[in-house]
Amino acid sequence: MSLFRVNKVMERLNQMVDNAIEGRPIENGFDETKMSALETKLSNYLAMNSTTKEKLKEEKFKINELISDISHQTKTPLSNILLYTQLLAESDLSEQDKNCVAALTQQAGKLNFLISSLVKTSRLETGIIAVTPIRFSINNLLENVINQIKPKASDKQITLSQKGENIQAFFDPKWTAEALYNIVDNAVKYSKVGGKVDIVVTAYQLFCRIDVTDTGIGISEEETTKIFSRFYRSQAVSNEDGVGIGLYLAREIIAAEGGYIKVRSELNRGSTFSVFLPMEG
Amino acid sequence: MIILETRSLKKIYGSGDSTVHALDGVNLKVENGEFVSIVGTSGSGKSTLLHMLGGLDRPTSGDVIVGGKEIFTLKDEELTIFRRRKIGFVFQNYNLVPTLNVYENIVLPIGLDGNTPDKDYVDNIIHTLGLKSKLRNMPNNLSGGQQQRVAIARALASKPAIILADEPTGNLDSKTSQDVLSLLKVTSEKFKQTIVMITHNEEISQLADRVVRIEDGQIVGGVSNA
Amino acid sequence: MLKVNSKKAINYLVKSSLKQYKMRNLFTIITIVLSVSLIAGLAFLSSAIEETERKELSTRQHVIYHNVNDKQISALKSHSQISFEKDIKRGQSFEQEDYIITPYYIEQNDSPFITVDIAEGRYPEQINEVLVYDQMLVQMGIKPRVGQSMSITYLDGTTEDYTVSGLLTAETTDVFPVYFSREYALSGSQLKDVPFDLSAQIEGAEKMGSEEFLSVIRGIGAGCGIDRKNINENNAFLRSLTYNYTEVIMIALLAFAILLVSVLVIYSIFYISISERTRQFGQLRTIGMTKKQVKRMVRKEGAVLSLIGSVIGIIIGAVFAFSMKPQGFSLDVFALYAIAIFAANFITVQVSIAKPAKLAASISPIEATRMSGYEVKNKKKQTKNLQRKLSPLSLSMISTKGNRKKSMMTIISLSLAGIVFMSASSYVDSMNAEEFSRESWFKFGEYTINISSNAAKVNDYGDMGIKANNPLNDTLIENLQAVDGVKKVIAMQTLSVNYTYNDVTKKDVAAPFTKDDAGLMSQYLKAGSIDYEKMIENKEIIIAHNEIAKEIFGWDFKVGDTVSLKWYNGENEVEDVFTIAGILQPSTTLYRNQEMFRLAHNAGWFMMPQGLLDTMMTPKFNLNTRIIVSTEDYWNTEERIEKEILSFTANNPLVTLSTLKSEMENDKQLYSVIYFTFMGAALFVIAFSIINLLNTLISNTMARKREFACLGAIGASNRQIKIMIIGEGMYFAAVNLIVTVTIGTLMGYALVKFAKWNGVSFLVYQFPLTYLLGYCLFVLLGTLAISAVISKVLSKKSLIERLRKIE
Repeated sequence: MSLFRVNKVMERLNQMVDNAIEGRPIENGFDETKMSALETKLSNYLAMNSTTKEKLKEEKFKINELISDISHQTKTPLSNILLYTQLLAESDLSEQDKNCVAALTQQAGKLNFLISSLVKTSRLETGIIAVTPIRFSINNLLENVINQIKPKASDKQITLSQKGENIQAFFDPKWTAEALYNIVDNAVKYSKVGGKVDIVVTAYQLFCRIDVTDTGIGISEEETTKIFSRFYRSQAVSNEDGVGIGLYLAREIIAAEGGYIKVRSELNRGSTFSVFLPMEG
Repeated sequence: MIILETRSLKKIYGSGDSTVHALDGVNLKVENGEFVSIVGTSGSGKSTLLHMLGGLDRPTSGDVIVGGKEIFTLKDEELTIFRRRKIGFVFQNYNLVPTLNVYENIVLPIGLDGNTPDKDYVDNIIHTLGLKSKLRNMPNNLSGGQQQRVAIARALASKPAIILADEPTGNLDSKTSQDVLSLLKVTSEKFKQTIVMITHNEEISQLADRVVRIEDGQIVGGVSNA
Repeated sequence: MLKVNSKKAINYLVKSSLKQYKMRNLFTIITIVLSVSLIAGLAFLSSAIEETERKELSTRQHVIYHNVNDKQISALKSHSQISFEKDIKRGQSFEQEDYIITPYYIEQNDSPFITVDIAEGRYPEQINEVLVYDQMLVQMGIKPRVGQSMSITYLDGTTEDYTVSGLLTAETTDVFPVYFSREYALSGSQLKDVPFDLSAQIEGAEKMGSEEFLSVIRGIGAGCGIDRKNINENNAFLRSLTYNYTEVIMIALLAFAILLVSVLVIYSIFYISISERTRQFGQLRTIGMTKKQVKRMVRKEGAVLSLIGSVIGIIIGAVFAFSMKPQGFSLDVFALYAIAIFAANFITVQVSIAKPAKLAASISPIEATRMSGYEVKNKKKQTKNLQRKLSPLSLSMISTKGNRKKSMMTIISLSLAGIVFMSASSYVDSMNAEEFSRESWFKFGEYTINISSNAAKVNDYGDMGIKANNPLNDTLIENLQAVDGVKKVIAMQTLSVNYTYNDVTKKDVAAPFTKDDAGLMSQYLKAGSIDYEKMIENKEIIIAHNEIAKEIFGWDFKVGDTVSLKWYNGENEVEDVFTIAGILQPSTTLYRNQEMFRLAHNAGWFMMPQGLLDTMMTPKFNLNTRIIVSTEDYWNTEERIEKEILSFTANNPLVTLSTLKSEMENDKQLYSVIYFTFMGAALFVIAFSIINLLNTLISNTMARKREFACLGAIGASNRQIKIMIIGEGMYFAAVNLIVTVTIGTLMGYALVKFAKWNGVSFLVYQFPLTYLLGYCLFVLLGTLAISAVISKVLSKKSLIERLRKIE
């Protein structure tokens, strides 16, 4: 075969693959050539492949739907449980019963958080809810978060401080507040009574950085990258409340906005969670 | 899936009394999509390791396996083409071609392979790295940080199996460094890009999913997120 | 104020840098050596030629006093300003069978001039002794040995017997001097009536100016009662007294041009070298080196290189000049020139690197740490297109366009080489042996028939005596015209005269012009006017070659002056006075016109209307002095036509025939000397341009090896890089060839035309196709070879090594 023809064949093949990648039809007329046969074969293979892919996607969607359904369907009974527990707590009960009710309330609350987190994650993942970043003030964001956490912090006598310039960054205020709340919540949760949590904002050219530094128990180096996994809970904090989904959700939110979270920690000294948010869209 | 693996990689310089074991049996595995940093002081062998990973230099013994291929079984010319298609480099000094504009620099490896760039993908990279307004500029008219962003874009554009970053912020001030590192991190997540970065800076290394420490040509420990 | 002495540190840096950048040094030195050896060769050779001439002149007389009597001789001999002198007698030449004899007497003393190199025996002392050439005795049929008896029969029929007292040897000739004793000079039949001449050298004349010299010899003459017209200075010696400025200016101009080219080359070499070393300079600046110190460092590097290059170049130039003219060596001239060239070259190098040095000094510490080692000062901030084609080949185009400044330097440098090459090769290729031989009368034809000068010598009235019964008559002309293949037969007339003007009486030739010619001549008048009829009426003449008169005599003819002419009119010697009506422009100007050449080249000083000339001669006197025959198709018919012409002339001893072919045969040696001289010079220039080409290509590519390493790192294969390097080389080669073919051809054409216009008439413009093809081949193959070698060199070093250099 002449070089010219080889070249032509290669060119045709190249175009065929390009079409396949772009999802365009690859069959270029039908005749008795081997090329035509090859086109059909490849076309079939791609069709099979895409069917499998569709199926996988469908299955994944079904699972997500299932989770969504479960969480949705459990919502009403859970609310009812919470409502009746509250009612129960208000009635005259023996000391022992009161304890039981308190435990019930706490567990129900935990279940509620878990399920709502799961709903959010699954919605984020399936794209039912999308983060819509806008230019927004970092200070407003922090104010919002600090107001939410204040009661918890003052319960543990933890000082909250906020430093840094007031800048505008590019993020979804609602979701980012949630993510940041989860991080600050962790900081408060794992800090000793009377500790402190510092929030520092630094602006770079392309990113802005929100450091949340606590004086808590810290995380070992092996764990720093694991804590963002779903349902990961450190042995060290097994006695603490929590379901191990907060940081996972936070990371998902921040990543969806084009940012990331970085952790630096030293055992028993405390940790710094740095949230990087893009400055521009 | 393991995208990159080294098996008892050794590199010995010199001979006789003056032998230097730059690498002394390095075993390393990097998962697909992972961001690994290799930390070490100067002279620890980290640069040598990176050169081996990128096929810029041949080891004295041992293998480097990229995507299941033992790369040192390839001839020099094959290795170059392998490198062009599978490895993206980000150097400390950017190494941009001064006579080409930003866009041309980014798509140059694709052009060298005789292909036309995947426009959407490249646009996405350019957008992510914030280079949209600089595309027609010549590299000399850019700041160091901007030049390094172009270098990262160039490394990403050919969809390599691995990006090897050699002290990517070595020539940048700390503020600019932070931006460049953030971009590396964000792109690694966004494009599920495997990145191996060498640095002597602990702080910078913390950015990675996993930190590998190298001392005297040997891996002395490190953290895996696997 | 005391200054910090940083000399040592800088010297150390210079040393290490010189060791490191061997390639650059080599190129710089080659460039310097080439230019210096070229200049030195030229200068030394010209000074050697001058020196040789001077040495030769020291064995010549400075002046001859003609027609001196005993009193004047003794006065001259005792004159304090005359260091050496000889009295001489020269008798009337006469023809003997087929050779000519001239009787001489030359005084024998230790004067260094007019020496007779006696091979055997001694100078005659007795009245009947002679000193003769052995060749002459052989021709007489006598055994050539000392003591031999011989006899000479003179024109008046008397025969005298002599004894050979000494023998001279000489190459074949047919004119033999015969030397007689003093006694014979005083009383011998052939010499006793001839007045003495006295040749002399003047004390300290070598150090005089030409004017001073003339006034000295004239003063001596006047003091001894010798007329001005009898004082004959040696023109060659006189000329040596006026410093030859034109030659010096020519050499200076050439040297300047050569140095200008080397400025370009050295500038580009250093410019590239400096931009490669941005980082180094930045580091030096960081550790506290001042701008001045950086500048000094670069300048010192240049100084060392120019020192080495100059020494080698001067040695090469000296060896060349010495081998060409070994006897022309003079230490003080050599030293003077060497120092001048040395200084000129030093300045050249310093000028060349002034800007690069400034560039080096301007590198800021920050720049060095920030930049990636080398940088391109790209004024262009943005490209017009988002993306250009990015194949290896188009990349090389982009790169040449991107590094516009460097590319321009390269292109200028290469183009200069090409232009110089084309000019030189056009010149050499345009040299034409036939035109060289056609310089004179062969312009008009291929055969000239002249009145034999030997025959004229022995006639009482010279050529005029022969013309009284002119063999170049109408019958001959008719015969010649009848020969098949003859195109034209031109007969030219001259009148031999003795003129007296400005106290000088000399032989000369007057040429006629017709009324038609007068119109043309009036366009070439420098002074005066031509009115043909009036000139006949008022006996007026025109002067040609006046500038030569000025050169020979120191004076020139003036319009309105009168000249006394004496000539043989066919019956008697007559004398008359003529007025100068006009003066023609210098010969070089006249000779640009073929017709003016024909008219003026025929004449000595004087030109007169045909009508006037007719009145001066007896009726029907045939003044033909030369017949030129031009043929239709010379090279195919020359043998046959020559035979036919010979059939008319061979039997006549009064005429001689010369042909273009024989002229070319005679000129062969002279022509080849001139040809090879020009060829040699052209080859030198060509070598220079080719080295420049290599230089530029190599340094241009080497400067970018880091860029290629960077491309290699991002995956450009060696093959692709090779294509880039070759592509770039080819781009430069193409531009170079285009410029060479267009501008080079134009320049070559202009040069040939200009030279021709200025009197180098043997040039016939010829497009130097062979040279050009050779050059093209060389440029293309050279580029390919260099590119291949460079990409090989580059690929030998590992990528890391090359990349590391950047860091």
